[in-house]
Amino acid sequence: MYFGKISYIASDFKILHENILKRLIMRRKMLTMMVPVLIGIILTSCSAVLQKAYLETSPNLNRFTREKEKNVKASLFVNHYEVQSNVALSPHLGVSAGINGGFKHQFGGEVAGIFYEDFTDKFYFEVQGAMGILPISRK
Amino acid sequence: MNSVPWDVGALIEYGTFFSRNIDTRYHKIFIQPEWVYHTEKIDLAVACKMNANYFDSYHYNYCIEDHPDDYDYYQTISSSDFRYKWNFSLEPAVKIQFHSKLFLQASFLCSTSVNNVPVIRCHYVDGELHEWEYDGEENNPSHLSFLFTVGYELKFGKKKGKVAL
Repeated sequence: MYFGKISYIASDFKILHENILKRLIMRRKMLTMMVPVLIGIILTSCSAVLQKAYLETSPNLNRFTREKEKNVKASLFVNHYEVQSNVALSPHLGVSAGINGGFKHQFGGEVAGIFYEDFTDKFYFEVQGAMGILPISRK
Repeated sequence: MNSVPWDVGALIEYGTFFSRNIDTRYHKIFIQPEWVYHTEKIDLAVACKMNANYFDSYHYNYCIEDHPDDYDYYQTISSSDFRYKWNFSLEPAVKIQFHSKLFLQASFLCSTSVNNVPVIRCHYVDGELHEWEYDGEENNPSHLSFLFTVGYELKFGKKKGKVAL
């Protein structure tokens, strides 16, 4: 009886998961249309664009999917750039390094250690920790 | 940075202009837990970066000037300086990647305030200071609250489960 209940719950979860996926794919199309609008809105006001004295960063959101993976990511927008690299040293440990800055003489760097774990075939967890970095902003 | 257009009006003729001066140097210690929900089609990552910042030096002043070419104009100014102070900040972030090398990422920032300084609005007539008033307070360190980036990722390494021949 309990096994029947569990399989019933599992099938419900599968339907829910498929529905979430369909919605996300629909939202992808909407997102593609919204990005130019978003850029336009941001460009109409400097107050939302200029990085200030404390540099807001784009955190390094990483997922290792390969054995001894090495990856490089570059991301930017009108007011910020990031170049980040992650290296998997073992099945649970890795290191990352990155540089970031604004386009108005702001600059920073980060080096971090990574612990990562694939909990299930759909959920991945990672924690990064670091010290000894030196952001500078001038002008 | 001097007299940058601050609104659409400033791009045409009259409007608001922004000038500022920054000389800041700080160090960070951070810890960043991250969770990723992934399928064959999508990677959805959520993280919260927790920073402890130590400021060796902090200097930030700005001036927002309304209609600077007019006889009668306003300046809003604020200035903050401090040294050897700690502050804490949180940067929650979301990344979405549709089984491609391209990704979109949004992050937010909130931080504790170290130095609250007054914002002063000055009224100039014919180049002379006519009157001034307090126009609120500015929390420092000053920063953006929202950041959006578009990125590209390259991966190297052997795919999991594949056996080398």
